[in-house]
Amino acid sequence: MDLDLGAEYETFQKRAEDFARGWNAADAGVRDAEIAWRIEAAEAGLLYLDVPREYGGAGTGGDPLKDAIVRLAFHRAGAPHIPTGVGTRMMVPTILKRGTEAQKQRFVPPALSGAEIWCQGYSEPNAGSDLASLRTRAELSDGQWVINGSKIWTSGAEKSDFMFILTRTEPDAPRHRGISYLLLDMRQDGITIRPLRQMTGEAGFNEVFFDDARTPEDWIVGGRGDGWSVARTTLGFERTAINAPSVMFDVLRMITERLGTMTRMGKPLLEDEAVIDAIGVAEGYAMAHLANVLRQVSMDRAGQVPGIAATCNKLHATNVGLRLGELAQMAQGDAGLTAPPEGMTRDTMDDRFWVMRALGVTIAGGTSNIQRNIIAERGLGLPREERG
Amino acid sequence: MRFHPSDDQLALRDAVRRYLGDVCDGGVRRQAVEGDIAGAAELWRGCAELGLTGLVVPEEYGGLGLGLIDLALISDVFGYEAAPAPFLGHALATLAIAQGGSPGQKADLLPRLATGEVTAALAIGEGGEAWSPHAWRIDVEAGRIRGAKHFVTAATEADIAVVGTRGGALGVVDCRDPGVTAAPIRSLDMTRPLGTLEFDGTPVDPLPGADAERLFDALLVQLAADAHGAARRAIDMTVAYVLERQQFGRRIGSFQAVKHQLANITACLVPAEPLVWYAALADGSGPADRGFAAALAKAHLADRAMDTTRTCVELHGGIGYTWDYDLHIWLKRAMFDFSYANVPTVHRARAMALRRTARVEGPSLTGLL
Repeated sequence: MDLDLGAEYETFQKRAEDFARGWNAADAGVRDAEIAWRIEAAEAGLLYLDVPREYGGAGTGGDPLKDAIVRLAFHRAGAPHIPTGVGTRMMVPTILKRGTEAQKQRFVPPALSGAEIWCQGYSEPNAGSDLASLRTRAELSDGQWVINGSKIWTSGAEKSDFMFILTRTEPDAPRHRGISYLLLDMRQDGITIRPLRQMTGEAGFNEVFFDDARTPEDWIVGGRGDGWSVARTTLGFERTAINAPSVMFDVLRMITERLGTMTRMGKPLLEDEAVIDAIGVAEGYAMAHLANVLRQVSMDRAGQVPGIAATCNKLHATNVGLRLGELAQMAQGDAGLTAPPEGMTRDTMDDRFWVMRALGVTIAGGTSNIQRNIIAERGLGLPREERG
Repeated sequence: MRFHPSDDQLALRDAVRRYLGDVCDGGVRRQAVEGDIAGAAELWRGCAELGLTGLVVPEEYGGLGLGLIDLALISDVFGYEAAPAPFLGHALATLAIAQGGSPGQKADLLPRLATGEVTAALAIGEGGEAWSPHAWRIDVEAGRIRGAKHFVTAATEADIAVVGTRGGALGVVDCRDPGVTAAPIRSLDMTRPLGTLEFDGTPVDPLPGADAERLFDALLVQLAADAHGAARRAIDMTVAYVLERQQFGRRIGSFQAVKHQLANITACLVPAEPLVWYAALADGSGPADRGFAAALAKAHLADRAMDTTRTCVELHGGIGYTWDYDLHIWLKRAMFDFSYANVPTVHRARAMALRRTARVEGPSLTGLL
């Protein structure tokens, strides 16, 4: 084993860093500039390596190590990377695998550049962890799907152009076989979005109501009743937790820096043994997470399946988050008695915010208890839960 | 860049696991726990035939010439099998001579260490948690030492010992010298019994090129690897048990409470394994990066191994708390790895002190980590 990049990857790294230096810091947050940047980066062979060129990718073949190199180079330069959210992470790989040629051409390029934003329509008020019990229905009428029902916990619905949505289209079929995966334009009258306020004060997710919302008949991915298997094409977090490490270390650094400025009863907090140990515990988990990600990158490149190392990603990332939340609370003192400032978001977060934010990770994208079932059943071979 | 074991590494690991597994599961581990070490002596000779006594000895001296990462992969197997063998101390003492010995010392000792003709002990602890090189207080006066080293691995069976002395120096002592008294101590982990070495004007042969900090970090990595192996074995035993054991008319492994406890320890342990590899590879970095990684790995793995083995005992119920059921062997293996060369909080404090300089001088990929 070795951790040397080697000549080929060092050259690639230099190219990525040179390219990243071309980002104009004044363009941060400017939507059109970010879109143009991503298109250029893909053409330069730095983003979306595994996506064919005709759909807006680099078309050079997937290489997780190159992905990691680019992510780091762009992160350091403050340049836009892949848009966060479910469009690139879930919709694009699903469509590339299961979609029609027309769907690929229509939807993939603007999702990659960030020109079109996607949200996910999975959870419903009565279909959370037990997703297959979902009831939002879609019926064909005059060459269009007509959708009625509601979705909940829909992150970013208010700023999304499209939704990929699981709907019940075959009410008489067994429940897993009665679901279809549809694509849906969010900008229409039949859709009402109601923001849900989170405990942090943010309005990050929403309820979405469908009242005869419509979508074309051919905006279905896979066949009627194939929706469950299509949705499983992209197994949510197993891969995407790979994006988490740089965020973890940003937060750890932020909290540690704040601890470094604080005193408690005249003594610097960073000289407190309990605080030092708590930082070390968090760092131990975070370093383990990083090492595990690097192992997966390495195995991916060699064409090996990471197996249980990947199955643990989400629950382990959650553990790191909880340790960071505990640290954030240590950094508070009296400030922990006051509410975070109005309008706080994850980008302007403070410590109070992180104590709560870390809890969201235990629920979003598959609750920790569902993750535990998956690890026990798929990872350790224990008996499956009985289903009602 | 490659950050998972190669086919060769896996083949060696599997061969060692087969050998140790056959012998240990065949009764030798249990005999050692009951104080009968005849089988363990035979096991150690078998290890020598496999080349494990010369794992880190350069090929020119008759060893396998492997590195710290290979050693860590094998330490993991010794933990997994809870093999009753003086492997840990022998490997580290041998490494000290290979890294810091004069040409004459190497030519004299390494070939015999490689074949197992000579078994070496590592003598660093001085009691009162004085483990690390800066804490060593034994003085070398006119080439002789007086005083005691505690918690010495294989103290009563070793032929030579690598001894840490004041100022972070290392030297070799002949354990057969009349100035050396070896006494066993009642050890918790009977697969790795410890002892005390008393020196009364004993000649010591200094290792001129010794880097005690580097050796100490290498020790931490091996303890972390052993802890991982021990914890992994406890999980495997527990999975097998809960798939077998019936209560309330069903296998207890079908209860979500049991599954979730097993999932929790698995999710913590599995990602920790490559942290050991990372720390082993950091041996090639500067001292801050190396020390940071080794200290953090030892602290993290020791804690995870304790969480894991404790939970596994709980999941077994009463049988897991008995002497006759084997699970406590791995709990005690983890307890050894937790306390030997100091407890996790001490290592975390060191890692945090090194944290500012670490990663600046690391290998190019440390940035990606």
